[in-house]
Amino acid sequence: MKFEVDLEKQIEKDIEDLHNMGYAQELYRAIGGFSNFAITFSIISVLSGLMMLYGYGLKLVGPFSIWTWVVVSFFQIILALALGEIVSIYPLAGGVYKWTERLSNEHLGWFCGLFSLLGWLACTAGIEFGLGVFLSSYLGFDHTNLKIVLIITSIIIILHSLINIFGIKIVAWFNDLSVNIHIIGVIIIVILLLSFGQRNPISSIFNTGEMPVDTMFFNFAQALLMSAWTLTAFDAAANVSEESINPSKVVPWGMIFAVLASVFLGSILLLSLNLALPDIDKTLNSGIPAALYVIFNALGPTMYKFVTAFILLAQFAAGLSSQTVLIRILYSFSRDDNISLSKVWKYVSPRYDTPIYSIFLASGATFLLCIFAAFLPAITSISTLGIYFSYAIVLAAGLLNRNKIIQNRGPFNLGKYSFLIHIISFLWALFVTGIMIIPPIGNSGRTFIIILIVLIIYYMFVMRKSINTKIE
Amino acid sequence: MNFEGDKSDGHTDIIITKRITDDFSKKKGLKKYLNFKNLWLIGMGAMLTGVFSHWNIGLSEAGPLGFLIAMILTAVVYITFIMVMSELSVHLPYAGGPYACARLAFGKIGGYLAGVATLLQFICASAIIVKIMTKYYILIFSEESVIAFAVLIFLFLLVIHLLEIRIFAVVQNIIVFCALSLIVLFFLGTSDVINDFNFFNLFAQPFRLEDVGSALPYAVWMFFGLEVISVAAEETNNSEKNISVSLILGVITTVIICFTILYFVIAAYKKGIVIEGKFPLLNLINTVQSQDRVLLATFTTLGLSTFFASLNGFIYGYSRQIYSLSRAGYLPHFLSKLHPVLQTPYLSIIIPGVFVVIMAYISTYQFLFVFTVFSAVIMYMLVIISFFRIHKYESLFFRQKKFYYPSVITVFAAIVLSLILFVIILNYFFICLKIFLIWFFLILYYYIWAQNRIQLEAPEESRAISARVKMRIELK
Repeated sequence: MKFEVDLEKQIEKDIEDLHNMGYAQELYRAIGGFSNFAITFSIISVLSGLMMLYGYGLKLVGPFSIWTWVVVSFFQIILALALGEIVSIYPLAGGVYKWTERLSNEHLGWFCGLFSLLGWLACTAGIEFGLGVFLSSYLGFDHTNLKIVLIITSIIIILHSLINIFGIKIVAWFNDLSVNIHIIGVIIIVILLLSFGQRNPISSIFNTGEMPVDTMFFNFAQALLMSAWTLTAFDAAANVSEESINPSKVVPWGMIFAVLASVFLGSILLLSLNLALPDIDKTLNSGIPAALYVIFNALGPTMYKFVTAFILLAQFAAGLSSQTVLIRILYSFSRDDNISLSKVWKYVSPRYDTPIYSIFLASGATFLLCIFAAFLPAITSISTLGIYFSYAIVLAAGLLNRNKIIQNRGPFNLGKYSFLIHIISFLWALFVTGIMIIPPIGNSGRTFIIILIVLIIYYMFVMRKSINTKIE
Repeated sequence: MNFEGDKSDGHTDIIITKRITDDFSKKKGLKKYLNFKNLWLIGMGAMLTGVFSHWNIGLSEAGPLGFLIAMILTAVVYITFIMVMSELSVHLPYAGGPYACARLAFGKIGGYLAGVATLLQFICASAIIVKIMTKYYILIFSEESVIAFAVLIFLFLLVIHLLEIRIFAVVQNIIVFCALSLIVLFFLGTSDVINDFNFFNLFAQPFRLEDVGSALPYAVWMFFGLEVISVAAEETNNSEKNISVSLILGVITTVIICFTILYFVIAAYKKGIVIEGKFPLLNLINTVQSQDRVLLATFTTLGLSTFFASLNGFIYGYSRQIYSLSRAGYLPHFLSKLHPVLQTPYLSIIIPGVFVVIMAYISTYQFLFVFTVFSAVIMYMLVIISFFRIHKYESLFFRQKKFYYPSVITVFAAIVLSLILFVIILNYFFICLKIFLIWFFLILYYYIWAQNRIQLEAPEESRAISARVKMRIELK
């Protein structure tokens, strides 16, 4: 009984805090600490991310690609700490968009938000399209037939949209389930691979394949995409801040625990895959994702079907969470009238407490992206680029306006290490963005320039005058 | 303090107030932690051993079609029982479960009989599972370490129960997950060899009615176990809703699993695959996937989890049943003592645990099997008849005025249960004589010792008394 009273008081306080930041409570505040952790953990989704991109790293640097995970993990933990400090001050739907807006101005916030939006759109499309490919193959369809893949992808998008329409509680339930699926799935895969599939010594993790030494740095940097795309998007929890209870505290901790848990599970998963890795060329030319081939080869067809069911479920949950976040960013944008037709997108259904038109828009845009960029690495590059560039913007805004962070520190703060952590995080986010766009490593430079030009045109001719400048 | 019993004259007032029962619950209450998912997993865990082992003896006795008929009959009984139990548990959310229902309908002796039947069912089921588990262990590992293995596992599970309820729930979640994975692996492993033609072809085979009768106890063995949920009410949040929903979802899952397994087994049927051995699923996988060593090793190892899950469920069941019966004074009162910090009924867990080990050691498999099924059938009958009685005399008792489980089906279930009881007595007459003797002493114990020591402030008792008083007032 006392617990219920405390909870009620906390929710009242959260709503008051939101009012003080200039917004009314429109979404349903029901997510607790564990569910907040779960939504981030579910999107990071080591089971789906690493399984789909393991071959990408393997092709570039062989089993040595496991070290990209180590490097990325180290910097992502630091990045999570930096973003955690900011979200503790501004626990608002919209995440980096709102933080940048508060730390600098609405115009920079708008640019940051659109990059974030684009990143999340591509992230959602990447997961859903990846699931479409995988599910087609699992169900025995021809997964190279784009039509079939797109039909299955569209069914997945519709299912995600329906769940998002019917309420945040169902999403939270799925995310909680996803945590179990990830933990159990990884443990099962690791135990089985170590028990039955081990064929390489532990020293194989230093094997760089047949890669020439002079291209080592470039290949390794390129292979960072595998880890950087998987272990990202942990600002997800921040986007459901307005639906969380005591967000200033649970959101930063949710982010950090999600990263730490993912780092651990990802490490043991990659290690067991490397130890069970058969001939690299055969693995890469098998016609199915490399990690799945390793599992198939080590465990046989029946166990393969069993284990991959976990991966499918994990991907489904990750796609759902990703779409939830995308919708919240859209909602946040439209609430500030910072996107065309905002009135439509910001409408919250009184029946379900969810922004239903934002859901339709998010679903439609995801489907379109799947059609136009129906190639997984291309989608994941856009996703990584968008999300990391938005991190770089918000961290730059934080560094340029240190006073705002120091004066408004929330319950989660980094104390005297704050500046150092922020500057390392900023350089890291900039570095990842750089390797995505700068040749010879990155191949998204052209995409980046096109996106930038389109955004600038949209800003100059449509949004510049109408961007909301009321918020102080 | 002077408490009034449910004397039939009805002239004295009841002085058991809500405050008294609340105080009683506070002193003797269990910790509320379980949710709907935990309950479902406890129930599923308890039933899984039946699905994994020994039911195929019924299949070999009655043939595929005969066993299918036996299963359909048993499913009707079991669904009826669970529906009735879920309805009653809304109004009687106590650790007593079936005892609370029969107590309301038939008074103290009725409650005692139902409680003891439930208890015997859970204890005998625990003992038989220990026995089967050791056999399984010998089959896949060796005979040398089997005693150490059985003792270690049993001790581990007892310790889990002695700790907080949440630890038990987490462990049960993990174990049942492994056990359910086994079922999924079975479906995946046999999906390539199943053949609809085999399945439908078997309907053409002859069967004898008496063989269907003989198979009924094995069909009961396959289904039973879900009822452990009914004793979890006092440890469940929002128990009025959660117990009911988890029972209904549990029975749906159970029926789907049992019939799908039967379909797979029959559809993959080849002479000699299923009939032999006491672990039909393992035998079938072993035959159809003999080359897949990873699958076989995983499947065999996961097989152990079905026993752990069931044992864990039944230990929970018997400990709560003993706790409620001893709290109400039917069994020695000291058994209901709770640990002051952990709030677990530690003596209700440990003492019967020792008894389970002794029973597993000295009793034969057949005796334990017959005793388990016999006790289960008695309990099902008592609950169904209690439902009739409560429905007749206290129709306002039910949550929906129109709640109406077709009486034809309920009567049919009671008839099938009588048939099963008759078959058991007929087929295992000498074992039944021993069981009757045990029951005789238990009833004797009640009249000599227990009936004068009933604690009327126990929730099951006070609920029954207040319902009767209410009924008397309404009748006046």
